[in-house]
Amino acid sequence: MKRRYFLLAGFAAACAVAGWRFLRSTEESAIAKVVHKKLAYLKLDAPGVQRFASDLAASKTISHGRLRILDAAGPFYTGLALSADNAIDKGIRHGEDKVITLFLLSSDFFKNGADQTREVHYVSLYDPVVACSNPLARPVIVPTSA
Amino acid sequence: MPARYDLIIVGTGFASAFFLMRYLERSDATRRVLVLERGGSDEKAWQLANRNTSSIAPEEVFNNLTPEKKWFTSPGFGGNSKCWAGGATRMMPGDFKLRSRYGVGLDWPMSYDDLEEHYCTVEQVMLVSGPSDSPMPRSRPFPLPPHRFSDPEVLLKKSFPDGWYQMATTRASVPTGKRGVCCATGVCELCPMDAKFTIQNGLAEVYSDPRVTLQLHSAVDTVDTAAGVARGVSYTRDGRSEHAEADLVVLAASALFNPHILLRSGITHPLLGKRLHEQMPIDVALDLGGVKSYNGSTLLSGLGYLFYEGEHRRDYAACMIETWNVPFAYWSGALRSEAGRWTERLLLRFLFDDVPRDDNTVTVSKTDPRIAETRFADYSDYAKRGAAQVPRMIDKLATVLPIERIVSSTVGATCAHIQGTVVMGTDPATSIVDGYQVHHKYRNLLVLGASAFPTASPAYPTVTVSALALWAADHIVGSSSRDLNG
Repeated sequence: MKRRYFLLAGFAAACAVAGWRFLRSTEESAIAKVVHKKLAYLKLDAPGVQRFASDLAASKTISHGRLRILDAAGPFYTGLALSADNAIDKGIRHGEDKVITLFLLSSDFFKNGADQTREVHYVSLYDPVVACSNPLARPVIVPTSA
Repeated sequence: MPARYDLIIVGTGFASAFFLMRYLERSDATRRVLVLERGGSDEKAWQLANRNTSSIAPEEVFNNLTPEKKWFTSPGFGGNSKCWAGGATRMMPGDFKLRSRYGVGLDWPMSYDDLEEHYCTVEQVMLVSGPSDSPMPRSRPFPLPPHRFSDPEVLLKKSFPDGWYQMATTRASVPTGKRGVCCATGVCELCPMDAKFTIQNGLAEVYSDPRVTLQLHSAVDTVDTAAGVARGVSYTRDGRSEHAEADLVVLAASALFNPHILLRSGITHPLLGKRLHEQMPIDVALDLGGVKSYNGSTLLSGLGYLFYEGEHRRDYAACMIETWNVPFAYWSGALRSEAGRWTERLLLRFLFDDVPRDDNTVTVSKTDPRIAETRFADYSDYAKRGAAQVPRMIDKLATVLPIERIVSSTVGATCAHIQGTVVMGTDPATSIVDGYQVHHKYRNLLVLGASAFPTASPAYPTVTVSALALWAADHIVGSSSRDLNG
């Protein structure tokens, strides 16, 4: 019986911690965690990442449920390196890719030629409705007559 | 006493504009035309400021009873030319002969050759960009040079020279003097460059012709008929009911609202409002090894015709493949996060033609007759058998592209096309309008637009809608009202 109580108490405590972490979780924190984890190979301007997280969360572009779960998972998320085909990673991968896409497009990274040696600075939240803001597009080259 | 006109046109989208263009070209200065548009002007500056193409919300005009299947519409001057993405592909010759060539679906009541000259005219008016080669016969080159392929498409073109082409599109590839040049912002419905053709930037002048009276904020309720003839229309403007009469009435209000108006008018037919359809889209994201993507010059730079025409159409749907260049804003678009491999991902959309079903419908809301209702039961088994071929198609592409893995593969929610519902054909028992889109019973009533499409075709509908409007106008202007009524 004691062992059963011990296990139940442990389970209840784990649930309480998870619930407490979920209640305290924020989208901003989750977004920053995703950027720092997935782009760890870049020199990131940390305050800029925080501003990006704040702007992106305010824009309601990304579904907040998954983000808060990521934030609640905390060190488990940031510390574990899951394989690309892991079921958990698959579930969150698309949201991660969206965050990374928006961060890179919102920064000076592509404008600086995708130079991994330079510090990456957040500029402003990417807005495709701003004319010709897509840094990846290559325009048609118009042949000029001699 | 209702105002009287030679012609009343309902709607201001592609079918309306091209029909009116040709009608005015072939008519004398005494003609009087009334054009009724439900929405307002919603000019470009308004659209950009409000991040919206219409001041009328979709739910104000139609109720989607199967919301998982989306339909896009943009009421207001210019109609769906405001929200379209500018795809300007012609149908293939076989699309017109699906029944006689492949024993599937229905034949169209005209051939590709019948429309070829009209296709050329439409492409010239729209200033379409396209390649020097083509998967279908052409009598004239495209007015504008083609867009630039992405790197994966360069590989596909090299290996499949007769299977991959730069996309025919009105997203201008070079300066035109009328529109901006497309720079792949990827939000074509709002296009901050105003690069795609719209009625506003390309054909608005037909509505300011002195023979034409354009009335905005005028929602047509019914076509008024008597003794087998369309007499005019009843419409609501600023809350007041009004009437106008004409010798010729043209509905060009889209495949959502053409049947809605006819149903409200009591102009019935067992097929009216049925066979609502569009292509079945399968969206696939592929990770590539060592090939950069997202670097074409426009939203979609290439189209694959590898699996389009052929004897397989006897068994399963034809397919046209789109290559997408924007890693944001649409479905599964995203960059990769691995160092140095951000753009090694290819987004493809496989579009399958559909054989329309009678249980996909537009009806009139019982609670508010001003509202159209849509129900979508499913795509045809024919389209689904085509979609089941996607893994085999990817295997074929993998002979050229270094595909590492399939990231995602899903059925898309919409292609943003709305077709069927007032089907054309030669037999009044199995169609509502004839090949000139003249109503079989009311011979001075035309119902223009994609509502007439008997089958889907993998191709985009717009240039065919516009070519059909020219084809119909040529026929009508060449006929006296006596011919039309009798």
